[in-house]
Amino acid sequence: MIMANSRKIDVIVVGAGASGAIVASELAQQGLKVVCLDKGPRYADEDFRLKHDEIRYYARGAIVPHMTTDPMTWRETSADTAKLLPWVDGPLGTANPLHLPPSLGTGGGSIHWGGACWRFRDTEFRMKSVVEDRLGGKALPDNHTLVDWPISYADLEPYYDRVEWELGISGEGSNIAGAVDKGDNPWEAPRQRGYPMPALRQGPTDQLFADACSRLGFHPFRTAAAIASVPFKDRQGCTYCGYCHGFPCHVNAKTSTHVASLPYGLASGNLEIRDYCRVYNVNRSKDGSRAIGVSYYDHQGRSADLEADRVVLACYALENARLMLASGINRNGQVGRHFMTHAFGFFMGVTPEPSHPYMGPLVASTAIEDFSGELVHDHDRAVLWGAPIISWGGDFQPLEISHAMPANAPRWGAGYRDWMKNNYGHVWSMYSQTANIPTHETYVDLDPQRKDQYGQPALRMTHGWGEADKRAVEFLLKQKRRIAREMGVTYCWEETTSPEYHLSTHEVGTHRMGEDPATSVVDMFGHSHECRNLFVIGGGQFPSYHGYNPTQTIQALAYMTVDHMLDRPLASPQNSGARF
Amino acid sequence: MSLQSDPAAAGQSIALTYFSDFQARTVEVIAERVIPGEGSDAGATEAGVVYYIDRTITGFSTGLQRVYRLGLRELEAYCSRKYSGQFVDLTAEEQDEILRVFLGPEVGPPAVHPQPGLMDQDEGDNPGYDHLGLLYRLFAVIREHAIEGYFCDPIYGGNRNTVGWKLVGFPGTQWGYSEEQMKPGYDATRIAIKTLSDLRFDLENLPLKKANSRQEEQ
Repeated sequence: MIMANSRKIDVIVVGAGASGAIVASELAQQGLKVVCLDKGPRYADEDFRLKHDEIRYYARGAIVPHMTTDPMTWRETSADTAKLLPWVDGPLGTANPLHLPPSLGTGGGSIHWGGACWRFRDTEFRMKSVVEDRLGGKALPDNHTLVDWPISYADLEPYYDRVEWELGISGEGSNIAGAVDKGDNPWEAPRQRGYPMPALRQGPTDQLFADACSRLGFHPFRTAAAIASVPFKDRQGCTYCGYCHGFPCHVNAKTSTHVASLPYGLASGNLEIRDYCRVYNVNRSKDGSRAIGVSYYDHQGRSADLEADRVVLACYALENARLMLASGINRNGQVGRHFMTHAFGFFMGVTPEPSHPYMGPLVASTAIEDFSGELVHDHDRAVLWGAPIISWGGDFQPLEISHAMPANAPRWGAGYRDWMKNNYGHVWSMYSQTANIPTHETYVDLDPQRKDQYGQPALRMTHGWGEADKRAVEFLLKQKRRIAREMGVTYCWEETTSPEYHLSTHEVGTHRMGEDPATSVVDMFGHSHECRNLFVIGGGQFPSYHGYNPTQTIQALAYMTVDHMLDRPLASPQNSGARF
Repeated sequence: MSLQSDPAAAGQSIALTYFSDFQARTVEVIAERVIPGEGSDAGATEAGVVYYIDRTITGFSTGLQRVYRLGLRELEAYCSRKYSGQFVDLTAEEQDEILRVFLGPEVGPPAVHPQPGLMDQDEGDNPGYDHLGLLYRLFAVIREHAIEGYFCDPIYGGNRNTVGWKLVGFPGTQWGYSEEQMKPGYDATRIAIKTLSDLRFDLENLPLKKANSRQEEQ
């Protein structure tokens, strides 16, 4: 055992990803001494200059965890025996990185993310109440554990704004306070101002999708993206290279926190990043009531202890829960409960004209919100909660498409070759993201057998798709079929309503936030109810989950945590005339 | 099936880092059945897929060496039993027949692997291993590897002369695409295919590039 550093540290941040990098950098800029530990490498811009490599990043998952180093098990129900994630168990022992936990190292999941940015709408924060009000108290599954959020959209609006303007988000605001003309999305939550950059340029098939949606009476609008569409701060605008989701950015256009946050923290001189450091325990005072530091394995595999006034766990929602459980912090039994993830309802087709699927980021896209959230009840009251339908027009490389072919396409032989030859240049896709309703049967805990390379317990997931979950996927697939027909797409295929994967890189809910210490793990700032000076932040805080990518909300919550940790008053909308 | 006539040309080496010559020829023939060439459409052999596989199992996937070694040994035993010959000498129809058994039909679900725990790399240590199971594993691995080797960047040894990318109309590794190129109706065949090597050459201050430009000046 070595004492890694005797200098007094104010805050330890575990994880330098989407939220950890923000907290570490913001606190350091305000004069706090911060040490940020990440189990992956510390990346430099230079590392990704030549990232156009599908073998490295897609086939071999160069930046994502692997089952050999970060094992995880899954079972459908509590009655089953868990095994290593079966959807990762391909012939080569590697998997589509989309269905693993996100990237390791500085930037974390924000390195490889597609960059889809969404603010949750007002009703999402009250999903349970809205469902019960509109569909009746019996609409939710018997064993559900859904609750409303302890904060409202209005509380978070200034922080959504901060994400957009501090980190850099491109998009078209529709519902801007004080503006006479509303934009294309009639259901956008109100916002104090637009985005700092215009929406990304569309690929060739995206307009076809938008036109078809308009003809069907839907309301297409350009989606927001965590990608600079024009130069932003010291970062370059997107070049539309088409190696985007699953890949790092070669020009720093993508809003990854290793370029959008960490440089500012490091410039303050108060932030130290230690890479290849795997935290395995949160250390507490003797009575367990106060966090005093962490233990970790360093880059040489040696155990080290680090002390600080405050500890922030900012790992992925799954690892945050695993770390708390492995550290014995779970007095009320709530850690790991309420697991939620997304089913994508992937729908792929072949367009009559070339789609040039290798161009542009996947988020240079268009979406409709006609069936989002509670709006879906006007169309089908059997669907508890809807979601946007989003076009995915580019950012497809040949290996990825080889793995996305329909089940009735030839897998080998001349037929396979000809399928790729004839169809690759015409593929185009749509997806939506519907979350499972959390129940007593959707949770994570420590696997009783499986250990990682350091002998630490692996995480075990228990999760199956419920009937309500499947109905939501099916309803949206039905709408996608209509849109595809309207686009003139005659050859198309789709994912099932209960996909074989149970990880989507969008896992949330595992350390729920709430006001009641008996029924939640942290408060609205991520402060642990059980353990003073311990903050546990990220998607794990979400009390309910919806049709949107989680990251912008995770980052908005992180900025809120920062204000709280600095004893600053919470931000309120700048435009006082606006009603949120 | 033909070897490159000029093996000394950059990226065309036929040297092997793991396979024996015989193993390489067998893997090459299997990969060619997975992605057969026809007319101007290149197959796995022309793409150099076997060199991708050979380098992959001495680099990234050393754990798969035994799958190939044991699997190919089992394949020869199987061919000897069933066809009284070596796999490479069978007719294409016979070879496809074997692929259908262990990979499943061209159209339809993959053949069911009788051995659970595909990620367990240690079956070779277990004297009770299922011989046929190794063949299911071998063909599943070769199919994945063949597709990877056909569409990889040429630096990995496969996709030689970017034949895989040409087949499907993929322009390869581009710094980006312009507004004009992204408009509907743009003829993307006008975009010259680039590789990672081309991109690195585009970077400034490359020592090799400086040396080249000095030569040109002289």
